[in-house]
Amino acid sequence: MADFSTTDMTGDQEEIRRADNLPSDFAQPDVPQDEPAAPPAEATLSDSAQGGEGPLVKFIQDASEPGQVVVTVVAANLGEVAGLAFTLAYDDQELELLDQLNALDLEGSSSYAQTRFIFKPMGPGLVSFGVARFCTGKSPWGPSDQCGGVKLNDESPIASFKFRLLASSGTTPLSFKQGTTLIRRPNREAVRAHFVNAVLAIQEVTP
Amino acid sequence: MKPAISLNLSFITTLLLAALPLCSANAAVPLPDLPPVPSVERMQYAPPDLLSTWGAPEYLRAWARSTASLQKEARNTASMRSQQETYNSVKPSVFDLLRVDTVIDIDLEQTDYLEVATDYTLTTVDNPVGNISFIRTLEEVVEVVSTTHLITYNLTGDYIKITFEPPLPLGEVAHLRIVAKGAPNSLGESMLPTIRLKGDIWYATHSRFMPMKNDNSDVFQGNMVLRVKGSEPTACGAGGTGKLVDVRMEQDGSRKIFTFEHSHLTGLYAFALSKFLRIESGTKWNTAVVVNAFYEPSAGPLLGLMDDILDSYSQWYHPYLWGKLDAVQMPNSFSGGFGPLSTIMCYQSSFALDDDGGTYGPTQLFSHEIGHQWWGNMVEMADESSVYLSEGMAEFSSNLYFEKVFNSRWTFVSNNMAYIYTVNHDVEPSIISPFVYNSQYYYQIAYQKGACIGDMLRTELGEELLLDGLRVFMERYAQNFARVEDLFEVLEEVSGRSLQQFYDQWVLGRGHPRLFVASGYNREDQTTWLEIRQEPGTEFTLTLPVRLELPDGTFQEVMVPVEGPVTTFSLPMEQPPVRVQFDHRRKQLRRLVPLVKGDLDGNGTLDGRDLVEFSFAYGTDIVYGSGTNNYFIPNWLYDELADFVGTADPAKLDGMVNDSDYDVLMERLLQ
Repeated sequence: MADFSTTDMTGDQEEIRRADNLPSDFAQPDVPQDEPAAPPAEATLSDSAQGGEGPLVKFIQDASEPGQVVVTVVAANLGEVAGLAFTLAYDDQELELLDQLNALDLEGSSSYAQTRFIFKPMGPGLVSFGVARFCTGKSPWGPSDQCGGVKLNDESPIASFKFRLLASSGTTPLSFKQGTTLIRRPNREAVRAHFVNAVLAIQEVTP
Repeated sequence: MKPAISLNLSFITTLLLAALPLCSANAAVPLPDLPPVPSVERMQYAPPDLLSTWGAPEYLRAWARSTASLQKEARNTASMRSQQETYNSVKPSVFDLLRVDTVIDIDLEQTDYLEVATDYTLTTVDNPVGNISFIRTLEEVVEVVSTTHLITYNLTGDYIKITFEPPLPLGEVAHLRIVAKGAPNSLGESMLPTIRLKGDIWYATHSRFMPMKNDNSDVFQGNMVLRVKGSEPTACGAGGTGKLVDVRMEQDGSRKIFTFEHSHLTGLYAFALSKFLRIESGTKWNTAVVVNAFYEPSAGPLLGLMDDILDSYSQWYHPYLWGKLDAVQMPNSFSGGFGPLSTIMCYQSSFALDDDGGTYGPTQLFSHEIGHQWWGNMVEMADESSVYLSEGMAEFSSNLYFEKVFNSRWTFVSNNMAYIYTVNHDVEPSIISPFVYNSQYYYQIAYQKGACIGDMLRTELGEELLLDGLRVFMERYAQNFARVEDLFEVLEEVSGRSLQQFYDQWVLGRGHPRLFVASGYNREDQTTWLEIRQEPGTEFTLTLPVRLELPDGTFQEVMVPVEGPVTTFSLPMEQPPVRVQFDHRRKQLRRLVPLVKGDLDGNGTLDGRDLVEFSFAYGTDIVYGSGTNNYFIPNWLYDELADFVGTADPAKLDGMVNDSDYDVLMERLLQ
């Protein structure tokens, strides 16, 4: 599911912003080939709550390769949504953030709406994410929800994060930083959802 | 009874300059017998001396001297000063009009032509009356006579100056008759247009269609009689001030005669004439819609609306006094509304628009004009510094009614934003400055700021106490004159609170506060903090509502007293709020400026949540136009904290939240 190629980007501007937002060493296009290999390890995501009836945002593990892990934030049972934000907290001694990707399309079939998003490093082990539906030309006499939104009833990917595993064993938490989560419906009503934290178990890979 | 004597000193001048023929005295139409003048105890205000009123409060003079606006306003008022010079040359003695009885002849086959004969009954106030003046609203003055005293008269510019020889002794009552005809002259036009169309629609409307006493500060009683002739006089209907007490055809069928009785004191008469249908409600207020036969809206909802507004205002202010209310449908070229005694006149389409709480339908316009039945008619403006009592309070009434009916602050908010965003506050006159009338911002200040001052008084005192005060004020000044100070005096008396500071900054003063705001959450001591700064020397004192959206979806509102250059406020909270909104319902006339540009949720951090909050404001404009012809439309979704930069000129905030602002937000977020 997670594809970190640039073809999924919404345009050059977004790509530039995304690159600007990455750690400087990652933003360099030419990575030396003799860079030390990542520790041979793999990770297993656990403690994610199973989807319930109510609105839920959680982590799932996505495709990985040795020494790396990709986790995706997914949402379920949110109903109609116009914007979503959270700050992901991780242990930067255990994980190094390599890349991130917006996976949520809030445009739907609308021709006048645009999806815009941002990833912003907030400090060591913290990255903020926000995605929202943008519409121009809102009528002064229109309803407050005239820009509309996208229904997220089924489990829907929101954003993916690709980490390098710095440790070869142990566990490391992934969490949504308290007080930073936000989901809004098209009429700006806040959605109360359960944000479920998770734990990554890291295991050394036997060659 | 002394013989009628008229000595026309302006005879030669009139012939040479205007080539207007003089008519013989027998052109005067017979007037109905004058009923006895009732004894009404009234407060007397002298006719205003415009120049002294202009500078009445020294505060305003000092302000005007201290700013470049003096020259600008002087230019604006150049024509007013010119009128003042003319006025001074015919400056009248103080007198009191008791009755005005007027007969208006209308020929439906003519255009822009009226014949008006008016009888005035007047007396002295505290000195003998030497001379008095009337505005010459029609082109040709036919006759000026007195049936009781010796007079002479001459025409000076747009005035008729009448001299009593000898002066009218103290305590005597005099009768004057002025007969005039023709098209309205320029002064008449500037008051309200007289419209006279041939064909299916006939209109003749004017606030002062008759020769009129020069100052506004007088009220009177009397009858207005309309005599209509033409090919179809029977098809004609009329609406007007006062009570329509008689409609009849002359015996030969040549004229239809309408008689409007003004048993209550009023400062003006007005009427409209057309192929009107009159649809009456039959309810306690005797409301009626007077509509064109070819364009008949559904009258039921309008009558219900009028009854409901009258019920509301009677409860809020004072029982309705006039016994009837006509809503007269005017052509769309009328553009707006007019609210003389016991009548409202509104443009055609307003009768048929849907009211959905967002459009300019009948509720907004009708509730404003009906508001004038209390503000402007029941209580009259004492002078031109008191326009707030008329337009400001009529608009406040309209906004308050709208809020209660639609549960929406739309009209308050739109007035608030329009005043904030379209007025050049460097040259803005105070709301009680006589400059307001000639200011290019007359509407924004008298109406829109006026409504907001009422709304802020509601915030300051609470609605119950404010309405208590307004009821006492109405009771005290009903059928009398009042100034803005009188209103505040009553509100202080009723509330037991000093409103001096409020009066100084919102009524005497000009402009509005610019509040630089920031907020955040301190995790260590679990408090949400608020900071509000004002530029030194421009501080206002006010109470600012702040709403905090909590993670569980509930809201908490706190009232923050703002004073001086820096206000800080902290609030214990176990969790940080999702969003902090300063005065989100626009209870104060203020401009908000973010101290932390981009922190739209007010949590003290620039992060992804701010992008989400920004998206709701994105694409909302409140200013439309090319830059030279801008106009203003409020937009609920507009968020001034998201308007970072102007599109054409980055330094000028332009009332639009678009990609220019988005770029600034992203730049800030990625710093």
